[in-house]
Amino acid sequence: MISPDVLAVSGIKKTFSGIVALDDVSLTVETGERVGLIGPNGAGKTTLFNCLLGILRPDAGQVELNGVDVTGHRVHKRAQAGMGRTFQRIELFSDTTVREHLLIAERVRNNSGAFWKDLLGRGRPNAAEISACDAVLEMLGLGEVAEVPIESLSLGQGRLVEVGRALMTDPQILLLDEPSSGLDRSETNALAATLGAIQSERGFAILLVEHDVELVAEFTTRLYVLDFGQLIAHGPTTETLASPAVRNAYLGAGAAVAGAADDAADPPKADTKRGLGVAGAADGAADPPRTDTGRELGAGDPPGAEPGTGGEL
Amino acid sequence: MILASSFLEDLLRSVLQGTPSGAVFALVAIGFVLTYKTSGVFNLAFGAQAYISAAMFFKARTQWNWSIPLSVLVSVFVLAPAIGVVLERFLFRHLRTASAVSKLVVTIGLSVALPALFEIFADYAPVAGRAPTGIVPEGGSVFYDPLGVYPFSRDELAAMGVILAAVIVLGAIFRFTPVGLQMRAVVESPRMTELNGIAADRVSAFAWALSSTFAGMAGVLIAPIRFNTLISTDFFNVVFVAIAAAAIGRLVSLPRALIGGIGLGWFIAVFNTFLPRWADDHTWLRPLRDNFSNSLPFVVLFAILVFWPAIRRATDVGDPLSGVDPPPAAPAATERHRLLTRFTLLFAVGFFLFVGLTVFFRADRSWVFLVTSAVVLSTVYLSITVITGFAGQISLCQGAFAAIGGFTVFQMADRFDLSVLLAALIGASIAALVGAIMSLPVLRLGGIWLAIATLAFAFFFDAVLVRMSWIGGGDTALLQGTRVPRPILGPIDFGNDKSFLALAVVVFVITSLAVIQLREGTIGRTLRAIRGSEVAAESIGISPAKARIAAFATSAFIAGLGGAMMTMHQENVNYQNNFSPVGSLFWLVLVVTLSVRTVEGAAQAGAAFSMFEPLILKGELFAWLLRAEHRLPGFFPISGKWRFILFGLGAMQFARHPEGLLEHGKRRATAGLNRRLARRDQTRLVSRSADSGGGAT
Repeated sequence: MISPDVLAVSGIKKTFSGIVALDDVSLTVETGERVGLIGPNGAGKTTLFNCLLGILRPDAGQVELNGVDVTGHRVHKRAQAGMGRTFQRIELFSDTTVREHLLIAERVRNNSGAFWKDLLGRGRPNAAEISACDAVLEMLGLGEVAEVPIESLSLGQGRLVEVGRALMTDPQILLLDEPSSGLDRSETNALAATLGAIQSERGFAILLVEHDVELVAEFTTRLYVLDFGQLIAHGPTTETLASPAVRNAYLGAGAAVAGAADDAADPPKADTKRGLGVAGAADGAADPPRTDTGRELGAGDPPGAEPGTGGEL
Repeated sequence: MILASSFLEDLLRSVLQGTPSGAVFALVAIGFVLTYKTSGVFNLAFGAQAYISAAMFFKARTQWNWSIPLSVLVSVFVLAPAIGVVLERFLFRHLRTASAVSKLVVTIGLSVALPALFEIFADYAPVAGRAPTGIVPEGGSVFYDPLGVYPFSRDELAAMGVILAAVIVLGAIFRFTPVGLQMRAVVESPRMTELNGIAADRVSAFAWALSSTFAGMAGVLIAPIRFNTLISTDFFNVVFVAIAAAAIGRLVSLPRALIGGIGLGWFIAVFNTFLPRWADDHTWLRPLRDNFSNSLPFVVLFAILVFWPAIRRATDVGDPLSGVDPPPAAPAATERHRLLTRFTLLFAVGFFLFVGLTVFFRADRSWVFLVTSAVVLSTVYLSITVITGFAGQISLCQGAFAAIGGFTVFQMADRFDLSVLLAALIGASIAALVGAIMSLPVLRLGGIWLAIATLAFAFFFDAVLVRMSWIGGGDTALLQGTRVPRPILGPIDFGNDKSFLALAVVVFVITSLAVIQLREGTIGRTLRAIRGSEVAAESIGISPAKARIAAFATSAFIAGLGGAMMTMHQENVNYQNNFSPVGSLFWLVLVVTLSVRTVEGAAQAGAAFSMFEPLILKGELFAWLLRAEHRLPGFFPISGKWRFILFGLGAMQFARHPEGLLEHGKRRATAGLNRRLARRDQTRLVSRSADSGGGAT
């Protein structure tokens, strides 16, 4: 039986020396869908993330990737099966260039490396591999820095390199770990726009773990909310965010304050942001079949944002 | 009934016998944990520090005839803490945010440099057959037997008493003084502690002084109990046991280190009492019996690393605020201007032609020998380029791998009269297999633990395997030596030194080309990715374990091949001179100091090892420049120990410039020249508006 879900997690349980970090958490991500996962500090987001990726072994529960049970698989096996990721604190390969990051991922994906090939001098990247990498670099707007050592990139560019590296593995689902951390509002928007454009072109799914509620509201169509290791709400993003349970338990008055602070911090960008936010909310409220809307939203929004984005990068 | 009671009596006796050593192990383990806790330094130079104090005490007593209290005061309470403070102030304070592995390399360098430095400045030479004296008069000859089972010597009782006092004082410091609390805080995060208004530097200096004092105390106490002579390599073993003890406490628990040390002392003593009896009944245990007692610490350590669950979970001490450092400067451009490339090529060809022709036509036998040694050693050093330069793993057992190659050639030639060239390939393959198998259980440990496991393996090989008749030759080898013939290939007899040099060069060139291909190929890129970020490498589907096994096997193969060439060259295995574990520590230090990531680095290290002493220290080069031997100034020849000091201290820069001193200089020079040439190109471009190709790769 082929499951439409690219990622299906059921009944994940994890305790750390008696303290329950995750209690019976289940979630699904469909092909090509954008799903958010939020929760206050200590809610268990990172633990869940690590269980999905195979960094942690859950005490109970199952992780299925494309209908295959990968619960017992190691991290790199899951990656080979189509699970890409980015890191909250960026993890890049020091002492290498931007293009080499993608080249190595490409080589691992098509699994064409062999010891004897290396020895015979046939291990160097070939033209096909280089052009595949350059295509992705162009798409990310990193074409100009392809030869640049990774140390001299900005944080925003570094995060894009992570995305590009993950893309080279041809993922079915991309797990983004707080992509906005360390970025300011405009950089975050630029990243979201680029990601959105690529996602709608390639059709992989995204699971976004985020602190930045605004980004989640704009970017995702469905949302899971985690608190004290349990899912307290899930459903379409706008509705879930608006639901009183989530507002009371998690966002409270804090969200409003944070939003205001952001607005005050960079006035010039406030317009675009508010515009996008309103558009998202309006779309969400107007069309009940949300998944479809979400996709349209994903496909429709970025072009509007892209000119500005291109300039930023 | 009688049997049982005699068994119990033996058990009690061996436990009592093991207590004094166990107490010393505990002391070293505590000092070890203390440095690790307060500065994140896994101090392999601890043995060297213990040795310095012990040697100082010995010299003060026997040559200067100082009184015991004065000797103790100077060697343990003045010299030892002074060394600790100096190391902290001038070295480790600046390395606090460096990775644990690079700090480990620095301490390996120190463990090579410190004993030589002391021996030169204190004018101390180890005297064979002269037993070290203890801190009490007639410590080795007066015995007390309180239980009627095992007579303690005065030295042993004194050691136990002093250590008990030291532990109590330390416990009091940690529990009742603010500095104890601060020391614990500094471990967590030096910067965080400083933000709280505590001078982390002062605390860490105090910890270093304290732990260094412990090292000195341990050295002075253990020398009369365990050793017949006072040489620096013995003290390495003490550190080993202490690492094992400290590992039981996952390097962070002082009480567990204490218990672990005493426990190991007992365990070793009990084992040494009972193993001979089992061996009487089981003949296959005999080679073990004869050699195992020496190797027990290493076996225990290896077993702890593999099986102790705490270590599997342990992670390196990381400063949560270390990420706020600015990123390291971008490496100098790897691209060279095409003119520069041409010039380098021209120079290299000219240089090698000159050296080659000189060696082949003008040099006498001894110089041909030295040059061949350099080439062969360079081949061995390429194995370090692969494992440390590419994979970023510190392997301290390259000497053992090389020895496997050498011994295979010896055995094959001795027993089966096999062609030595074929035997060399077989030996290299066996080394590769051993490397892969050895790395298998400890691969996941990574970082310093993997390095320590390789060191344990090196010492185990040294203490047990070499003595096996089917490896090191056993009794035959003792009687006749481990002779190896030179190869004969068709009409060419490599018995001629110059043709063997040609063969060595060919082997080195082929190996270098293979290494370069690996670096540019999938393996090299994969390893670079893992070294850059292991989690990120895994996230794109790379299996770090697989890649590391490949790296270990490749590296061991190259080492085995080089080792085989070395034995053919010297027509003997010469295990003690060529492949001893401490010797291979120096190999690593040498390669890392010069340039660990490049083939040229390996070649330069090979040349440095075999020719630095005759060329520089003996003044040959100077004499050649002055064209007259009798005009050599009086300070030649300089002691060969300076080799250890210079390169040992050179390893310090590894934390800052992991690419190596030579490579660092080269990168800077290249960058400077590139800029100039680019500027020249620019002006030409402007004036002529002609096309310019830019840099060539």
